[in-house]
Amino acid sequence: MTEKARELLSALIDGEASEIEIHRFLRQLGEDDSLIDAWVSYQETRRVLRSPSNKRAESVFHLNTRQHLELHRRISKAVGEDSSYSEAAALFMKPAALFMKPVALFMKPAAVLAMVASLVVAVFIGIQVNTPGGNDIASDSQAIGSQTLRPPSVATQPVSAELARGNESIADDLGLNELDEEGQRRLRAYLNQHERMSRMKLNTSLVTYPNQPNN
Amino acid sequence: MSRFQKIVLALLAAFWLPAAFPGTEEAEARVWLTRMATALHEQNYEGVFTYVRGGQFNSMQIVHKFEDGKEVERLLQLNGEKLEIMRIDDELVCYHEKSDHVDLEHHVPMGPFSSAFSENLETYQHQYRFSLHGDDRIAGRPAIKLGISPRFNDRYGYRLWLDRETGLLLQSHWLDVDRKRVLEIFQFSTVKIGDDFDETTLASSLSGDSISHRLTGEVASVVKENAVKPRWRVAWLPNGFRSVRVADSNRRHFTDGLATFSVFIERSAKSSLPEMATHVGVTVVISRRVKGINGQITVVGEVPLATARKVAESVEPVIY
Repeated sequence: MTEKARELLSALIDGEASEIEIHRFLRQLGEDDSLIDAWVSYQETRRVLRSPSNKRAESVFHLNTRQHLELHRRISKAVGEDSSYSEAAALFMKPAALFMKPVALFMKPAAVLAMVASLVVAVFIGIQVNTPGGNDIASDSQAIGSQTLRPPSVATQPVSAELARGNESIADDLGLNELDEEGQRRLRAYLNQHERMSRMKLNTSLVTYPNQPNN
Repeated sequence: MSRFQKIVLALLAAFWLPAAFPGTEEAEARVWLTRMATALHEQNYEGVFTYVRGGQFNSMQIVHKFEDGKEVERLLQLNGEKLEIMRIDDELVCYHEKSDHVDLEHHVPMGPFSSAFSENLETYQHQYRFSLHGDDRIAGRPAIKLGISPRFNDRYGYRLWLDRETGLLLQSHWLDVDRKRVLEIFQFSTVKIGDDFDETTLASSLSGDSISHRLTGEVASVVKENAVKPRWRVAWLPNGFRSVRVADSNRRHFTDGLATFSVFIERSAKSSLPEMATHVGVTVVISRRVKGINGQITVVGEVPLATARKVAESVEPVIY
């Protein structure tokens, strides 16, 4: 995997990828197996770390991302080996001898595109399956955790890494999911209190303390 | 006119005029922001917006009505848990579908801007530059694109797409200008603006068997000055940030009118948070122990990490 690809994956995991980067990632996903592996590892790490705290998740059977990917590969292989598929394709092409050249021109890229698209769908289905109920979207603590985990095979640096100094732990090393229950609860409370304050009409409540101009 | 006079006039046109009237575009952008302010409050609209914030992706249905000087708004979360937020002016009540797993300490996916966004224009206009970036099309409607860039890299910037006809915010990007990254995205995928929508869309779909709670920011508008002497203070703030009075002596809240951050203090020998630095979308979190204060401070806000760190490092005890 190239350094650029690592950066791209890191940005995506951090939720900071631009639209162009997301498109680039989707394109590279079909070309770079190590990128897929890294992405899958990340998803699995996240699933494993989440499942103990999610009792609802335990009560439902889910395929993990790798199983989905394997399933997808087997289906693709089976489709490739299916003679009826080849015959149907031949039947489709034979009477259209006149148009064979243009059709053939489109067949290969279309097939590649279809494979890449289905692969992406498989990967993203995997993500959905590993987040039962979709509750991670609305839950701060889980969302925070999702940004702080990295696939073991990817040596990416979080945004905070290049800026952190002193004895601060980098969130990547610490992993917010590794915070104990009290830590996670407190962090979530801080985020919520901050967010709610941000939504108030603050201009009516601005205050300047004498001799402490900014406090 | 002599050749010399022509040269002088050309030089004046090239250098003096832009300097004398620098704000033509900026002034127009501000007019658009004012329109946006009015539209956010006073337009009737309904639609579905998506809000991408870090690892969170929310789809919300919104119905907003302005009648007799009162805003009534209904927000319905479309993915995951059924969550509904009813707002009448500044009063927010959150409704959850009754279940064994209701979490009342949840994120409120209301979109990127508070109701005060444009009311605070006067406050934040000195910290940002405003620019126009031509036309676009969002949710099927012609839009005008605006830029809000910080004058210094101690805060983030914005790109806004406003409805050309009404000024309503249709899309926004929260930008780390330095790193050229989009940190948060808000976008209407469908929107209908105007009076002609069904009144019943404002009715709660969770009435009856639901759990409700009131959301509050706990702004202490009636706290007496010096009622409680502060035991700690934030000695450094980015230019233009001011304190918002809050009821809780264990936290401070600051705003430049647009960006905000909060400073929390946990007074105990053993903190529940380790020293760390991370972010959730555009929101940075930095936690550290402070010399002289028995406890740990945590800075949470929509500012770059370097700014949050500098704020955190400036926290000190107040000695009387």
